[in-house]
Amino acid sequence: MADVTFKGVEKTFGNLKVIHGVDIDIADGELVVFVGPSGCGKSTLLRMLAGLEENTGGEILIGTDVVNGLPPKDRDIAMVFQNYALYPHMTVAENIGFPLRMQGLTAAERKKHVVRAAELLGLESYLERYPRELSGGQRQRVAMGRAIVREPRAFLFDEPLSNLDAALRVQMRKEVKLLHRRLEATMIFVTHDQVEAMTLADRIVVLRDGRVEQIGTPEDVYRRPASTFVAGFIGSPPINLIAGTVRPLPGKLGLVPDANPALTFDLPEEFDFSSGQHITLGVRPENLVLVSPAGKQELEGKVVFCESSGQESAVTLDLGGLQLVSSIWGEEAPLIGNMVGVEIRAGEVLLFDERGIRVDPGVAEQEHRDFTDAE
Amino acid sequence: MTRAQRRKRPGTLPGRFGRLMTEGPGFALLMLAPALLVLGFVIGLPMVKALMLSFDTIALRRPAAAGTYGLHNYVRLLSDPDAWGAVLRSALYMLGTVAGSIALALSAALLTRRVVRFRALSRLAFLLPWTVPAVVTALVWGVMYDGNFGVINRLLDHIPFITGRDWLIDRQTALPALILAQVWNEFPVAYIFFLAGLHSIPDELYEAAKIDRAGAFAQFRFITLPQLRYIIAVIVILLMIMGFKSFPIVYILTGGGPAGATETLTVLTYNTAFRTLDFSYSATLGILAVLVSLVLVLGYLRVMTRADTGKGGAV
Repeated sequence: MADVTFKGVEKTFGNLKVIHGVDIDIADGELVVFVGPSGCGKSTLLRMLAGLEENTGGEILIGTDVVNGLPPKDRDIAMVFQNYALYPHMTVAENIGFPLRMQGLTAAERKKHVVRAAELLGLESYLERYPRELSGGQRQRVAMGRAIVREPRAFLFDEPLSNLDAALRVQMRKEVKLLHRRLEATMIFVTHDQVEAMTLADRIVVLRDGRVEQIGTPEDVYRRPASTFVAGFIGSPPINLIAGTVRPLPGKLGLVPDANPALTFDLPEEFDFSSGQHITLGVRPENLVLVSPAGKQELEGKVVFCESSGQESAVTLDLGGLQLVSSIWGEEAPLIGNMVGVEIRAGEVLLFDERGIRVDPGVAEQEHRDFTDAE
Repeated sequence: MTRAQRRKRPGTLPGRFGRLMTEGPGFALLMLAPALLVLGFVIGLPMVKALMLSFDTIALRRPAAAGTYGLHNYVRLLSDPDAWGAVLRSALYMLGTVAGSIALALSAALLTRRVVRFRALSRLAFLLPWTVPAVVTALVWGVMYDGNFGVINRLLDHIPFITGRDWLIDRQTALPALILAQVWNEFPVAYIFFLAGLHSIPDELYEAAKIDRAGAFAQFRFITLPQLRYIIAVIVILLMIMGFKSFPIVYILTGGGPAGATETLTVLTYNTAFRTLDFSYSATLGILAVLVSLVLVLGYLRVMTRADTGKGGAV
């Protein structure tokens, strides 16, 4: 096992620059998830680490070795692919044993390792089958078996669960997590699914347009998102982002939303904004409390849409042109068309400056990484 | 069926025969009839004629024996060293052309698979020999092989320790020389199959193999070859059939010589008919060729059905 380091890594395809100087430090034994919308460069980063793509700038280190220019076979990593990439003409046992065969192990030695890996993944009774005779989940397990059968310096997962159905995905997610705990291995997992990222990761790397937007624990990126992008990407239903202008109120400051200038949201006093500043207020749906019936509250909205998953309902409200989503747990959702009162849980707001970067209390102008790249 | 009902379906024939011809297998047969008639005329009739001829005695040297039917031609075949020698040479020729074509076609396909610039041109270059008729191929190679002014000997003049020779007149080199000409003419068939086969192998398999620490040769041995195995099987049998039946290149370049060194079964069949003028024995040799081809065709069908039932396909 080894740590993995990206130092100013860049990638250009022809004239198109897709990765713009990425720095990531991954500790030995850590499970890091790269997450971001499609086209953000997360798979490209992984493939560059694997050696399937060459980085055009910067350095990639596995342990203390710079692996730039090294072919995949000399990098000592294992990878699980989205489409499993099992060898169709080989049995499960042959598939799992293939990396060992390439290492020059004898058939007897291979068998020992293959059986152990198969036991770990519950594949003992499928060893003589061919991939075409297996279900999606079983194939995925074989692909994982092929990765864990040897002891690589790092495991790479390229969206390995996205071809599975919802129930199986949850189960395999758990298995990946357990596997990580058991092997204590360095694992890098790529996904576009923020739930997968949140549930799996020790740390999450949020990527956007080939740049790192934030690196942090799941708790960090959820509670302290670096930007409106991270705030919007992580969390389901997504955060309410209310863009507006700061206006003075008697004794404090308020935010007048662009979508409905008749409304005002109180801003917490500990923030130092100046009047006229254009900022964004973020409220997670669970922090938007519905009070029924409407009346005493300062804010009230009309229920326009409601999605219920049983225990949780996402209620969309219309506040005179400003649409907000509230999620309520364990209670019955209000009827569409009803007016309800809306309250924001005290202290549970996130504030972002005009560049979309989160502002901490008491600091008006912070030292933030400049996201408007100079290139 | 009442008269009124019959009137509702115009064009149907009345009675049991009518029903037979408009429903079920009878109808299928009716639709196939034109094709079957033509095929029967151009293939079936000559085959029956040849079969009859093989039992007859039509030979210029024994005009009086005509009409004497019997198994004598087959008895003669069993103990005819020329015939079995020809079968052996046909087999050698067939195996040589198959091995040569497969090796050349696979190399060419691997070489041009990843070509991006001049893609069409590179493929065209390897397909071009296919467009040349076998007769023209034979004539061109005949000129190249010529001992006195052939380009091959001219080129060899520049290489020390190797001397040119009269390739088609030398017993040692005549058959290999013919095989080379045939390979040049027919390998594009295999090339185009291999190219298609290579493109159907997912890149991910190679990527997985690279991660699993397979080098270039291991990727070929463990991914490319097994993934192509059904295409290779089909091509081998197709080329065997083509090689076994092949006639123009051998006939034009050597006519079976020198001293029978290249006399394959097809050439022997021709020579027996049109040089020795022993038509009946020639027909017997032809029947032998048909039987050998039949075995090859059965092998081909077997491979095709196995490939079709998905026993070898990708997941």
